[in-house]
Amino acid sequence: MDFEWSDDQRNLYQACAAFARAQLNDDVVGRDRRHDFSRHAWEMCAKFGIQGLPVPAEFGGGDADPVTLAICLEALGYGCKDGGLLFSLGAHLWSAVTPLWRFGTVEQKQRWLPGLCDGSLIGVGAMTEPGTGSDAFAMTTSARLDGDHYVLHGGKTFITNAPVADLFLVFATTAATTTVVGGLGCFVVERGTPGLTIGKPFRKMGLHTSPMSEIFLDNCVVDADQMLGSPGAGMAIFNTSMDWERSFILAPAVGTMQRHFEQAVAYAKDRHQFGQPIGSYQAISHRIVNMRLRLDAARLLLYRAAEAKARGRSTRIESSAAKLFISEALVASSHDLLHIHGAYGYMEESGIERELRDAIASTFYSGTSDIQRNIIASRLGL
Amino acid sequence: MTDISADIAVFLKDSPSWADRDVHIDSSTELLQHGGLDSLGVLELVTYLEQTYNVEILDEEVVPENFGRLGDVADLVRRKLATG
Ligand SMILES: Cc1cc2nc3c(=O)[nH]c(=O)nc-3n(C[C@H](O)[C@H](O)[C@H](O)COP(=O)(O)OP(=O)(O)OC[C@H]3O[C@@H](n4cnc5c(N)ncnc54)[C@H](O)[C@@H]3O)c2cc1C
Repeated sequence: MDFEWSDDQRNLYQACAAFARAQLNDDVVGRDRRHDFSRHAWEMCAKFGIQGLPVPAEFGGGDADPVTLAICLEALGYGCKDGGLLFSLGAHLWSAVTPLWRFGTVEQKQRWLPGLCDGSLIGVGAMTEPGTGSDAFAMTTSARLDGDHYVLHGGKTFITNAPVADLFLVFATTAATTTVVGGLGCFVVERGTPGLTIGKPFRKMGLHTSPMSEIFLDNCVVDADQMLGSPGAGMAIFNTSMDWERSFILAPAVGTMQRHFEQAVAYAKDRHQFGQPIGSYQAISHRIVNMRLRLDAARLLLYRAAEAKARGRSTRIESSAAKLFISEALVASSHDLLHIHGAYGYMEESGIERELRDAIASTFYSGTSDIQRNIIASRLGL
Repeated sequence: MTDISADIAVFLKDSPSWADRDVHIDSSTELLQHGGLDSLGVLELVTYLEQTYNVEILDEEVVPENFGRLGDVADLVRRKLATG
């Protein structure tokens, strides 16, 4: 077992972090205040190759193996302070790019993947409904086959990127029964399709630079060849994409926690109270040690999941464990950083209060912490 | 009915997500026509198969072709055992 990165991996990390630091941090505080999604930053990321990282080169992607993917995303989270942008990129990668890459026909991949990789198309998956969050498969949005097309009807909520997205991967029931294997489909719906309406952007606690809204489907007609996978494969598509999402959606958070840790150490050495650097007080130094322990454990869980994915293994425990632990560690790390900075951290200009607001959502999206524990328990046969 | 099909039938009859359905189960049983498996039922069945037969079933394999009939599920397990 080798815990060291190769020189190539270290160089890749440095290059991604340097790119993110130089290109993605423009006026983050102001954009957060204005709830501004940066299309410019999105395009810079696409130019750098982020949006197509795991996609085969023939469809415009970077062909990155899972470990390389984790390294790039960790570095991105280290350099980039825009948590909303990082989250929008994750939603795009795991809920739009991944289902197309894993389940699309060659024609579907040729049609949509190059645009999703080069930044000209923004995508997202639409699963959650007002009545179905954790119990996602109990959805009521339906798709009725009518000749050579499907008619979609229903609505989805909490859809990341929706206000700016060009492609929606909509999950809908295709059978009259509630069965999930065989009764669920995934449809690629393009913005502008008659019957698709995008709701007003939501105001939320954090991730302000990642826009979100409802979408409504009212007799929305899509061609049958806009369905992904074989008929009734919706559950496999959703679970497969979610497994990639749980493995990697918080890869940037590991980089973010590295940045928190370094910032905390520097401040604890610099800030003096009662004639001493605050880091000389155990209350502060032990808190920083805990930050470091969580960071190390988070990184190990991320790369364990990536390594298992690289070997083509089923990663249900590894991916849920990574999602669960890193999300809770990110909240704790942001809170610790705020605590160590006292009132300075509480001020908007510090950017630290924003990091905490952004972090909290991570224990909800991609399945809440309770649901991750349920998944792991069921894999243990409990 | 092969042993694997019989095992799965016994497992399904006892599983909470299938137990209260009045359906005779054998290898030709169309699971989908009888209400199919819900998400919890699928997870339980996949965990059971992996632990009983020491095989690994990927999420992308949980499709109607492999889980439509009870016999399809048994065939999937048999293919996995054959390829080691
Ligand atoms: C920032 C953000 C972005 C999102 N983006 C998207 C998106 O792009 N596309 C999309 O489809 N969805 C998206 N979602 C929705 C997300 O997937 C759901 O919020 C999530 O699945 C939980 O559903 P819910 O919020 O309705 O909570 P509920 O399911 O109503 O749960 C409420 C509480 O009950 C607990 N609970 C529920 N069931 C159980 C159980 N069986 N055991 C133990 N505890 C339980 C939960 O853990 C939670 O604490 C997003 C959410 C957020 C916060």
